[in-house]
Amino acid sequence: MNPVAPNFRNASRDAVKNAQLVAAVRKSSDLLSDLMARAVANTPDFEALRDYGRARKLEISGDLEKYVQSFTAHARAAGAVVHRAKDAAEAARLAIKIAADNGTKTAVKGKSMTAEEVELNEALEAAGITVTETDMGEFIIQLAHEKPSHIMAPAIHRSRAQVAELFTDKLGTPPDLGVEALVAAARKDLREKFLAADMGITGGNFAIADTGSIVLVSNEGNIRMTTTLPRIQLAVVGIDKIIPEMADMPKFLALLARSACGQTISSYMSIVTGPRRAGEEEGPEQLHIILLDNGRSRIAKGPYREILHCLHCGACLSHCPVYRAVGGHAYQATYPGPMGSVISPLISGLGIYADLPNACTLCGRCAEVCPVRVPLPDYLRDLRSDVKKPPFMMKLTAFGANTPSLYRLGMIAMRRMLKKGGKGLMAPALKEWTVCREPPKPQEGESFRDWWRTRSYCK
Amino acid sequence: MILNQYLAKARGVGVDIELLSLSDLNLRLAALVDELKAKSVALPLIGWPEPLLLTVKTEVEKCGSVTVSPRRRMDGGYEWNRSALGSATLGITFCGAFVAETGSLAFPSGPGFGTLASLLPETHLALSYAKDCRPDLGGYLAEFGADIPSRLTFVTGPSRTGDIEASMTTCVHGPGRVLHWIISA
Ligand code: SF4
Repeated sequence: MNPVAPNFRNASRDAVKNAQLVAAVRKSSDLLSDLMARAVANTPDFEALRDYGRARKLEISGDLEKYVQSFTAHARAAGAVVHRAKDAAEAARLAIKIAADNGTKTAVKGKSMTAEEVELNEALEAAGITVTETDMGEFIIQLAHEKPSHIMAPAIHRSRAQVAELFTDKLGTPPDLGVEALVAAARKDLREKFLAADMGITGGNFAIADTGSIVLVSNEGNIRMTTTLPRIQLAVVGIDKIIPEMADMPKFLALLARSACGQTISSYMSIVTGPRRAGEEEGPEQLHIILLDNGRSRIAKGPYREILHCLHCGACLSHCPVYRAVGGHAYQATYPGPMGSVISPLISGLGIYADLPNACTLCGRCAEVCPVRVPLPDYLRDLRSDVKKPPFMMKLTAFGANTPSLYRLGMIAMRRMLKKGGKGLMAPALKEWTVCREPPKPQEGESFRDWWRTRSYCK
Repeated sequence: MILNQYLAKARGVGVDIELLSLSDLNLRLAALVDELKAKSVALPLIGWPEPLLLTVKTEVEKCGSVTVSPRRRMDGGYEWNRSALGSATLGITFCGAFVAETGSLAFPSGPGFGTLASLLPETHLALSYAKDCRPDLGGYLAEFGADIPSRLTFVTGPSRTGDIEASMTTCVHGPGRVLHWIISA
């Protein structure tokens, strides 16, 4: 019985009852999984590419500091100001200082899970800087004062009708607009903000050590605006995003784009190397890069190192039966789903997210789809025992299952109890399983063990 | 061969591609400006083969459109008039490299040929020569060696989002329509 600690359990119980939420998450997850399956089927060497991805990432995570140093040196040579933040609080402080030093009042921002991790918006807003989210999904949830519920599709939990209602309420659009009209309304609202903003904030999909470049992909074009129009640019990048060479990038991009939404490449890819150069009419005057550690160096030295290989494609979320049933908010962490259930407790030091590794059926689908083969189910299982020694009932069960005579007795008792509809002496042991569902009926007729004994090869 | 691969890839993501000869360019431009009723056209003046730029600029202006281009500053640098740029309905840029593997147009930045003309207007027309098709992304990136421009932008189809119920919608922040005219030698 290893019960899931209260917060995930309560939140997920509410979530599964929310029919609209479940339908929205399932619909989008199905679509994303289908797109990925089709793209992978059209890529004959995809398995070889995954092997490459994992092998290369093992080299990187085995020598992380070397690549951090190399990236830092090359980015500085290109004219960027590189800062290193050991934790979220330091990253937020640095961002506020950069904004204050340059007298910035308004910022436009592209989607960045790393920025979510350091709660950058909250920090900047508290310092008097208005931050506008410009990714369509992020724009929606910012209007609704929500957190992202998926690392790639942040507003996956909202239906078109709900978005329409929200826009009517906040932007004054006519009621019940279709998707196209909603997008047009956001375009109009955001265009002015892009042109007026002092600061552009992004994450980074890849950071290239040998050139000091940040690579950013997007389908909407908001990242291009954010990295071209404002006079100050800030990129907040986890040190796990560093890859050794520009020559590695097309391969990692191929893995990411296919797994994230079934593309060969996103509509836009910006490779940003330093600020605007002499004579150029566009681009920021200053490019600041905050390299965020926040536990990553520590994780790289421990048994869960491969979680740093994650490309943040979101495939393990869309394919996870638990995520699909409850959506992202139930996890109450920056990173939800299988990758989130591993990285969240690791970053926070097995603290408040200690229950997340239990939010998993160990079905293994995540490991099957992960483009860089992060062994998520193994990690989730190992994390459970790191968090908590197995409870007494589990130890008892293990002892029973390993002792044939006890096992037989147990099975007889179990059959008897299930025949009575789950009541009787052993019923409390089943409580956790029977809270939300009926206990199964034992099968009619002979038991498996009796049947087995009649087989000729047993005699 | 690689041109065909490019055509399949780029058309697959919704790029409107035409193969044309230089002599057809004037007629096609006039038709496009007329169709879009484009009052102003964003047009970088640097980074083009001179004769091609001249043909485009003359034709667009002949159709009664104003061209908006980065202005040369006293110090030798360039500068956009942002509000003029913002009101352009069409952006025309030269694309010196496009990639077959991914169906992408590549735009390196540099003085006078930044990338906003391909981003802010609702329609973007890229002009290329057929010979400028590259087989793959890795090979194209390797051409730069250590000398990467400050912004290297790849455009693969129109601006789109799937953020509302995962249904694909175009023209979010960038152009909803991307045209690529490939001029045969
Ligand atoms: S763990 Fe793997 S599947 Fe999950 S988001 Fe990361 S890269 Fe994608």
